[in-house]
Formats: sequence, C-alpha cells, structure tokens
Amino acid sequence: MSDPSSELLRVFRDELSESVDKLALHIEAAATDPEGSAANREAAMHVAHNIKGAARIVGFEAVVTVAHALEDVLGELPEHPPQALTKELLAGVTLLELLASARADAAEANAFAVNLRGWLDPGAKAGARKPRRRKNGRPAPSPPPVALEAAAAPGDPSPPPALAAPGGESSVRIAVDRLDRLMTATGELLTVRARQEARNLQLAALTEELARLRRRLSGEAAEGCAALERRLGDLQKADRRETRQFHTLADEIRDALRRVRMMPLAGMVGQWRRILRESARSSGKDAQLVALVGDVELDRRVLEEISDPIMHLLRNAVGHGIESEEERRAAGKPVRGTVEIQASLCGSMVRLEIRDDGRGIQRQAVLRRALERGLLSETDAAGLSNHDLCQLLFAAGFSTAVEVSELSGRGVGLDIVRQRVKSVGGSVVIVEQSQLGGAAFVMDLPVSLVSTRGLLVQAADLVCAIPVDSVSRTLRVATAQLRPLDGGLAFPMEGGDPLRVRWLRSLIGQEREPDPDRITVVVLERAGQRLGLAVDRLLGEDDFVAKRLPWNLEGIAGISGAFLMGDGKIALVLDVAQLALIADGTPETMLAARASERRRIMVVDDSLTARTLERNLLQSAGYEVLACVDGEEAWRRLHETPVDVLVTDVQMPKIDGFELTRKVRGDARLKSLPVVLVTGLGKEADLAEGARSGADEYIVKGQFDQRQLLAAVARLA
Amino acid sequence: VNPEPQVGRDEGILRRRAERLARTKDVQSQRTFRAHVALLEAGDQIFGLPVARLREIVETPSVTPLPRLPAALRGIAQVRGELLAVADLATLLGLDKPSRPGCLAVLVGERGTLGLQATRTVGFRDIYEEELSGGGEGERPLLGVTRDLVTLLDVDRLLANEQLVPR
Repeated sequence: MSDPSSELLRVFRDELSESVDKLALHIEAAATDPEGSAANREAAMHVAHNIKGAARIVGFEAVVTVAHALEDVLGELPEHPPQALTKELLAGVTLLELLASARADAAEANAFAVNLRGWLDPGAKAGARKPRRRKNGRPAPSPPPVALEAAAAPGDPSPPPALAAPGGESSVRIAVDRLDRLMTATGELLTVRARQEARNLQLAALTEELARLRRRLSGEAAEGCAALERRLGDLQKADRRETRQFHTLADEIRDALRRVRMMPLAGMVGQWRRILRESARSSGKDAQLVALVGDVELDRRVLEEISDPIMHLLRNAVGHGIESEEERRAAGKPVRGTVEIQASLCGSMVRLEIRDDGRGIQRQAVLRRALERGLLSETDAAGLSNHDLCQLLFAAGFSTAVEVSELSGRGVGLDIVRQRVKSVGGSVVIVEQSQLGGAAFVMDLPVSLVSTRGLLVQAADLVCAIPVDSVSRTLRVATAQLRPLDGGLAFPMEGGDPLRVRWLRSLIGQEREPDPDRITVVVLERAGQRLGLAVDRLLGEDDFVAKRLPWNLEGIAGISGAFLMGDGKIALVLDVAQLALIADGTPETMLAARASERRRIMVVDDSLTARTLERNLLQSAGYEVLACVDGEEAWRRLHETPVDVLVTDVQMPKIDGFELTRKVRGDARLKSLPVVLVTGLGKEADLAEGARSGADEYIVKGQFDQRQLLAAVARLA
Repeated sequence: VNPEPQVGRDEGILRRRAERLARTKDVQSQRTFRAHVALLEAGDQIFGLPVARLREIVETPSVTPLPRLPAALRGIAQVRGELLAVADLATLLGLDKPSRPGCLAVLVGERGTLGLQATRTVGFRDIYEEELSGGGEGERPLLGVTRDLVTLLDVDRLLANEQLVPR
C-alpha cells in the first residue's frame, strides 16, 4: 500500500468527501422519484465507478471493495427499490466516509460488500436471504466471518491508510482545467518577461548610443546630452531592477504552480501491482512487480495520460514476455517471473523503464505478424534490423485491435501507447534485452508541463527550440571530416560510434545552402539514440511554454508545438524523437554533394598583401579563389572562367575597380555578376562612385574586417 | 428540332433571371435574408464570408512556414496570442492567382479556427436568397453568386477541404 502521508491520498480524501454527497443524493432520488429513477441510478453508478477508480489509484482497497459492490448492486437496482435496499446502499455511502477517515477497516468493508451483493441473489429479493439490518444507517462493526474474507475482492489485508483527520492538514481540490488556465496565464507571464528583458537591452543600447553622440558634441550640447544620458541611464537601471524582480516573481509563481501539479509516482504502485496480479492470474502465470520509483513525481496531466499506457505495458509484459511456469522451469529461470518498473529523474525528464525477465522480443513472431498484417514485404523482412523490428511493434495496426480482459476492459495497442506518451511531449522506445533478460520499454516523460528550457537554433529564417533535455552537447565540426555512412553523413567521434549528422534545414523542409568550412552541430540524445543536427546558428537558451499546433497541423512530422518569442515571432519546438525517425529516412548524400559544390570567387588586387589576405580568408571559408593582379587580367579571365562573385580593389593601374565594375555591368553575359569593391579610401565620393558604377557591396579597407568581407561574399555568392 | 438539354437549362436560368428583374419593389422588399457577409478580394474575385462564422479580420501578420505543407497552407501565425494555420483563399479555391497577402480573416469552425489570407477587405453587405444563382454544384465550396458577382462561400465545406490537413 502506498505511503499514508502521501499527497495523493489527501487529494483522494477531498474528492471522496464530495463524491459521497453526490452518491447519497442520487441513491435517495432513485428511491423517491420514480420518474427520474433510471437517470439517478445511472448517475449513482457513475459516481460509484469513479470512486472505485480513484481509490484504485491510491491503492485504497477497502474503498474499492465497497464502491465496487455499490456499483454492481446499483446496476441491478429495480425501478422501485425496496426501502431496505436503499438504506443498505446509503449505509455503504456512510461506510465510504468512515473508511476515508480511518474509522472503519477493511474487514468491515468486506463484510458490507458480501452482504450487499446478497441483493444480487434472486433469492434475496424474495426476502429469503435478507441481509442483516444496520442501526442508524451506520454499518455495525461486525467481526468478519472467515468465509467472507476469502470471498472478498483481492486486496491488501492491512488496514487502510490512516488518513489525516479532516481539518488536520488543510488542502483543497482544484479542477485540472482551472490549473490549466493558471498555467496558460503563467506561460504568458514568461512571454512578458522575455519582452521586458529585450526592452531593457534596447534601453541600455540607447544609453550607449547617446554616450557616443555626446563624445562627438561639445559645449552646451554636450552638457545637455550628458544630462539626458544620466537620466536615461537611471531609467534603464530602475527598469533593470524591476525586470529582475519580475523575473524572480515569475519564476516563483511558475515553480509554485509546478509543485501544485505534481503527483508522486508511488501513488500508482498499488494499482500497477493489482494489474499485474490480475493479468498473471488470468493468463495462468506467476509474476511479481518490483517498483523502484522512489519519490519521483510527475505532472498530474502527464500521469493521467500515461496511466493507461503503463497498464498496457504491464499486461504486455505478463502476456507476451513472462513465460509459462513450465517454460521457465525448463529455461532454468525462477518459476515466478519479475516485472520491474524503475523511475529516475534525468534533468527535467523522468525516465520510466518497464522491464521483465521473460523471453524478450520474438523476432520470428513479430515478422510473422507484420507480414500477416501487410506492414512489410518478404524482402523487407529478410534484411530488417533489430532496431527496425522494434519500430514495427509501434506501427498502427500491429497490435490486435481490441484485447478484452476481465479487468482491463479494452486494451490499447502499442501505437496508442506511443501516441499518448507523445501527446505529453515524451517518447518511448523498446530495448530488446534489458538487464533483467527480457524486453524493456523505456519512456522519457517531461516532469512538468509548466515550462521547458530549450536551446534556440536558427535554420534558414526559422527559429527552432530543442528541449535541452534532449541536447547532450554542441560541436563545431569541419565539413571536411564528414564521411558517408548508411546513405547519410557521419562525423567520427573519439571513443564511440560515429555521429550521424543531418541538416535541420532539410529535415524541416528549408532549402539547404552550401556549407561553410565548419558547421555547428547540436548532438541530440534521447532514449539511447543519438543524432547530430547541423544548424545555421545557435541563438541561446530560453524557457518556454509550448503551445500545440493548430488543429489541422497537429500531424506535421518533427514539430511538436510552437511558442511566441519576446519579439513576437514564432519559434517552432522540435520533436526530437520524430526528427530522428525522419532523419533515418532522409538521404543526405545528395544534398551534401550539392552543399559542397564550391563557389568560385575572383579576387582582384595589385597589392600582394591584400590579395593574399583576401585569398586565404575566402579559401578558409571554403570558397575557390581566382586571384588577379589588376583589372586588365581580371577582365580577360572573367571571359575564360565563370565566377560567382567578383571582389576587386578600387585603385589599380590600367583598369581600376570602378572601370572594371562598369565593364562587367555593360557586358551582356556578366552583367548580373555580384561585385564587391574593396578600397583603402573611405571617402564619401568614392562610395557614391562605387554605387554609380554598379557595385553590390563596398568595403573600406580602413575598417577591414574579415567578417565583413565574408558576410558580403556569403550574401552574394 | 431536337432541343439540346444545355439550351433548356440556360433558358431556365434566363427565365428565372428575367422574373427576378421584373419584380416590383414591393416584392423585393419581401426578400429572404440569407447572410450578412464580409467581402474579401482574392485572386481578382470578391467572396462573401458570413460574419457569423468570422471571429475577426486582421492585417496579415507575419507567417511562419512549416515543413511539407500543401500549397494552400502558408504556415502558422499568431493572432491575439492564439496560434492558427494560415491558408490562402485563392489557392484553396483553385484560382489561378494567389491572393496578395493583405488581410487575414479568422474563421471559426467546429474543430478550431483557421486564418484565411485574402488580398483585402472590400466591405460588408447583406445577401438575399433571391439574388443568388448557381452554387452547390462541383467541388468548390460555393453557395452561389450574386448578380454583382459576389461569390458566397460555404464555410463548412471550406474548412472540410482536405488540403488544409497535411498528411
């Protein structure tokens, strides 16, 4: 049974105290109002069912027993229930309350359930086996007969958890949708915070600009400017203080909200154990659950979403993993199979591993099923890797559509498991052989849905956020070191497998551009899979609350949501697990070949130093460089060899830079060739002359800056 | 003479039109109200969108493209903090010319909202049953065309267009 002090139990108790009122109301109404009898009976059944479910989650067996009996008997309630039965049902309601406050025990619950079920016996209605009467509507604390104990629902023999008496530790129950609203508002708060920070930076920049202006002024103007500068500086400092304060407050609110939404996994163990016991019993196997969840907590919405998937995986482990007793004996394994659930916290993700000591994934059986269901062809089947085999298990239509068992009701397929896990931003993979010997399912789930920290990267004009939990590191990689591997490119890593590298641009449908000499690669690691993502630029880290994509775009592969940045632009949140799948199917070689297509730049300068400097610079950036000593040579060679950009000095003998540019612009074939003028002169007249001659960019040598030239060439090439 | 069926249909249309035009003012005042519409220009045509299905019309915000979208979808945009998909009205209707992005009409459907990009908003007006002809036939989500060539759009069919949901 779960920890008696658990928060979950407190929540349950609150919920129960509301539910019992409703239950009593409907039971009474069903008896007194013949018109609404059926509706009230239904409503009462529904409430009893919900109580049963909630009690099961917190592992409160005695309440489950009573609620279950109530539900069953309500289901058979005649249109005009005898008064005695109504009283008996109401006694059950009272018993639920007593159980919750630890004023009744499991024995009483069992006795009550057996008695109440007596009404289901056709003889009972005739009064042959009328259950014992109770006094004052409160169940008599009768000692449970031994025979009844055996017939009772399987349950924990220990007494129910001693819950804090009402009013002991105060707590309130909050509807999840109200919490969600609060969460949305907090998300907006974070957006405001980001905008505020951006504005403060603008203010700081403005102050600096004013300072620069002041330095160029003198006399009264300079003094006035200095006064303005001081006032603006003070304003900016005050604003920064408040921004920081707001920052702290927003963080506090977010953290508090996060805590409010947290539920301990330990509260689920009782339910898991029961599921396992039931599936073992119904399949005639012997299995035990080992739960290693510690005090790991999850957002309640995440917990709700994965509750069914976990139950499915547990049933799966028993049904498909654990062998029959004979098989286990023959294999020299202990007769009792073991299923383990382990939870561990990794950053802001919780890793939940469900493993068993069974037979593992049966390759042949999986292939047979996949072939039967037309999920792959005979030829595909032959060369299928183990990794792909495991992917098959998650394919829609792989699982038998509906598996009905007495306890579970409708089963969900593994595809639904994956979908549910994904819906909360998690991922799930299969490990063929776990440390227990059998297969394992590894789920990575976000601890919280409140906000996520992401690495912001740029690909073409798009800003994408990668949840930092999926990022193991970032690298600068020389493109020359990339090698073809499995239809893609890979980067050799010291002491490990080569890192597969894919371009974010091509994965999200943006046009690839020729790669510079060195590329920035974000190494993604999730559920044991690794992938290098080449991005244009790293933009930094930020907290964000992702919004879902609009209804019609939810199926877009590789993108799990989006959020508004401080500047009002939209950033896309990458779905790392799915991106890895897309990467598997994206041939990168072709794009890589195109990317490595060298651009040829002509550099014209009569100074050896300048020419060498420019040539080396451009070559190291991956361009092919054609160097010419003067305008005449350049003009001749332009007609022999096609180039992509012309970078030319202005002052040269014979044909100068302006002249060369004019000639290029006047030539039918060359007229659209981009031209960058580089000169030692910084005069305005020169700039105007350059513009008149038709140059695209003008770089002044006095301010010669490598980046400036590279940027200009990159813009034009 | 064997009258072509097409000729028969044309005659029918012409007769109905003549009857409509011949109505007195009195009769016209008893027109049946169909919808109050916003008039949007897209691909050089004017379309009427029932205001009952419009949440608002805003200036086209900046649109963020998403990978592998069908041609009619331009990407996502945010309007009042809400993310919505942006579709181009002209492309969605299969017109030759895409709309120059000028305004965005936010449609409300059962499953959610959709931003419809058009060239501009021309105005608003009432549309009456009597002035409508055609429509209902073919694939396109059109309810009919008024005498002055305003095409009344069928918002539900428009939103059900499979081009709006990438595979």
